[in-house]
Amino acid sequence: MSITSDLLRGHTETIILASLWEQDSYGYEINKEIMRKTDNTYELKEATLYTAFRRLEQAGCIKTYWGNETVGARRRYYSITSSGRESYRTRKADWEEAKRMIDKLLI
Amino acid sequence: MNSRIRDYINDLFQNAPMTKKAVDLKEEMIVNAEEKYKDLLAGGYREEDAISAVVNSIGNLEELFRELEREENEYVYMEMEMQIRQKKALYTAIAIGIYIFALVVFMFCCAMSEIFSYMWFMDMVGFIIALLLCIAPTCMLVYVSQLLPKESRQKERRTEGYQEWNERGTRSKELRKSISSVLWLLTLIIYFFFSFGTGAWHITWIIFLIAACVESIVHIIFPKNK
Repeated sequence: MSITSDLLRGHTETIILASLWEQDSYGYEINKEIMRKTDNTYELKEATLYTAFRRLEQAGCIKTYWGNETVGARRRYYSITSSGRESYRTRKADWEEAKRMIDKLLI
Repeated sequence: MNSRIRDYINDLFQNAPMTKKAVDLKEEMIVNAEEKYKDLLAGGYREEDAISAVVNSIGNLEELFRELEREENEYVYMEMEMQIRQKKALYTAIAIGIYIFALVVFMFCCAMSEIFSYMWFMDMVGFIIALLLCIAPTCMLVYVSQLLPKESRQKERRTEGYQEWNERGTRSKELRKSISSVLWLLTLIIYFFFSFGTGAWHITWIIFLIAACVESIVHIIFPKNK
């Protein structure tokens, strides 16, 4: 599992962009969704998640705003920008390419 | 609400840079961690297990702090550069204003001496006042030219050796420019001073040739690239 984690870590930003594609979300919810989709086998470390948020924000791929929850603490939401969508398409294409090559190289 | 998670994250952020972004990030992490803790309790975790699960999932924050620091440094640098640019613009504007004012004073005095014959000396007086007025803006322009040059930002990214070489070149160029501007201004002042004073307009223009010579010498002393 740890080797798989290393392989996945390189795609953290792409995974985050993918989970923001449909709707805005916040840190814990994104991680929960990743857990659910991988049948509880993969979970991002918080440190990794927030570092990726910073980088994506710096690159203009996502925007952030504070939610207006009336009960409890305020969540910090993220939403994907149009350049973020553009970036996601490129990353996805790169991944497809890499996957094809590795499939050819490994027997 | 369990305050142990909040305390733990507060502790972790002791090494974080003291910025608003870091405070926001801490708040965000605490809110998310507490929600996760609640979910775990609802899922049948014991309190102790839930806390250790939350704490374990945080990981190493060093890289995150470095990222924050880098963002902050970039921001501070941009702020500083903007301040210098504003200062430059302000001083240049004031200097030009004073030059124009000096010219107006001079012209006014000339007009006085034309209109009232008993004020025949006013053009000379006006000239001296204008000359004195020109001292301050000239000093200001020289000072402004010594402030951080515009290209400094790109320079920082280049290798050190080249940077040093380039910086020396730029500074020498800046100095040459300011000397040159002061030189020509002085030449003009001296030209009018002597011409009005002696009335020897047929010969005083020679000073421009002398100024050209001096400028050539300045170029030899401060070459384009050292």
